[in-house]
Amino acid sequence: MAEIINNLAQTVEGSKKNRDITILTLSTCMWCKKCKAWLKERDIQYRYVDVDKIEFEEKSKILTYLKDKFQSRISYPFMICDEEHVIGYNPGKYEELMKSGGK
Amino acid sequence: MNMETIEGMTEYCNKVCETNNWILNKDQGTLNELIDGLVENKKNYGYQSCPCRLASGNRDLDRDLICPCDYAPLDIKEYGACYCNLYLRSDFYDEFDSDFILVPERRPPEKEEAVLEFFNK
Repeated sequence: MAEIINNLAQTVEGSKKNRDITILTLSTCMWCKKCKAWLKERDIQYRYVDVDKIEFEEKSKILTYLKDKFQSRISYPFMICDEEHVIGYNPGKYEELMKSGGK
Repeated sequence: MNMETIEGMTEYCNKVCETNNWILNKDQGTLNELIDGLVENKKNYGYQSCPCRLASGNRDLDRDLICPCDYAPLDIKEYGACYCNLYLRSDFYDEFDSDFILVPERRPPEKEEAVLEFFNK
């Protein structure tokens, strides 16, 4: 994971830690809140960065990292689950990801 | 109307609906979150930027995202809901058997590139 994300991310503790989950979110975004709630309800540990709350330079670094790494558009919530990612609130895909992998 | 308040922003959104023959999301929790986000953005940026997209803080770059965003009419016509699901087509609850619609991003990628360049300066 990019150092910039590691430095800025806040951890929400959960008992399920088999997947490394980071979500890039907006503090104002209802879908991002639903994503956080989805993880919390399942007691899944995750990290998040509210991208609208960080400095321009940090925004630039994170957005550039996401674009380079995933070669995709950036919408929120942007979930990174180990090496996979899901763009937008998508409980169906979250379920698949949680079932499919893990350390 | 004071759009930096929940009441004012709700009034504004209701007027947008009246003008466009749309309806607001009937899930009160969802609606409250979306209105809160708009109020927050109005306070922070001076305009009610879409709460589900990253604003640059530069009005010229964010003009297309000011709620209702430029993409809402087409999204509502095609998918039944705007990107945030704040505004819905008037027949939404008769036509769709879902709590929410995942609306693909219609904003041109060039607009996002311009924002990234702005952050880089």
